[in-house]
Amino acid sequence: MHIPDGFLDPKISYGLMGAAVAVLSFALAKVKASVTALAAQPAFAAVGQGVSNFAGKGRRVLTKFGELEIYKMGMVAALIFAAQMFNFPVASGTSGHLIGGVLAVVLLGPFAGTVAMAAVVIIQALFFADGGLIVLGANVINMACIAGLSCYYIYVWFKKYLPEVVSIGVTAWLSVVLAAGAVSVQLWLSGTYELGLVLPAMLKVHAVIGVAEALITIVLVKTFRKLVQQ
Amino acid sequence: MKKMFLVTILIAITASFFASAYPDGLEWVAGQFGFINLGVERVSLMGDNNTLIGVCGVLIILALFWGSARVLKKIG
Repeated sequence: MHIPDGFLDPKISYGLMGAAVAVLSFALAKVKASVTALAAQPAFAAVGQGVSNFAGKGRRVLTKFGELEIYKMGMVAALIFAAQMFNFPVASGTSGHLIGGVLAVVLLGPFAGTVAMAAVVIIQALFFADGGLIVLGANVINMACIAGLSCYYIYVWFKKYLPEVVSIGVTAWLSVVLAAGAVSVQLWLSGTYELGLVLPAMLKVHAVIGVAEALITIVLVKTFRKLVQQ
Repeated sequence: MKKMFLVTILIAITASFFASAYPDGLEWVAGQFGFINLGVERVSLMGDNNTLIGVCGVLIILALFWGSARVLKKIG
């Protein structure tokens, strides 16, 4: 699913880069707010400093919970990177690998999950030539925002009606299909290929790959929860 | 967390031997429709050694997050 440079038109690529930066800044702000707390003011230190504190200039410090949360984000991101190495053959000479967006948001919640997933995609592009640089924004949007952030809310919705394991599986499958759809639309908007042909082909291949995504996601969520209890 | 780290490294190493030579879904579609040539091949810093890529990737990602936690702790 990693788009290489050259598949997308520069205008689309830069537009999606802007969108990716906007979503990631928002997610990072949310994560920062959740891992930090306003520093406790020592009593009476408030005399001079207090005024500025009342004005809302309180210093935020990392909480113990926050520190663990960041370590957990790192561990989930590392797990996704490792699991993505696993390429499984799919029918007729194709292969697939995990995206991991649903894995990230189920384990970490919507914003920390999106940041962790984006970190994986960015490191792959910068260090391992996996996915292009100009299209990095597109890859972040597809794999971290569409297959990650938006799927968190789909997962929460499914969970109201279905058992958790089933919701994770169905959402994971859907995340791959949605991302494949997004890539098709981006290819079409770039003038690379006709939507009418590229969309069905992408959906068909990824409907199969999505089944593996669902199974791997369920197994890894269970493993992670068992090994990392807090 | 330690156990999870070991499992992650283990997955990275095991998975690297299962790397399929087949194109992935998007590459396959691109090949079918003949726009695969538009793609720019980039060379990985780590070459083609999948085990090295897997282990280094895991370590880089952990270093990034664990480093951020330390920095946040210092500057508050």
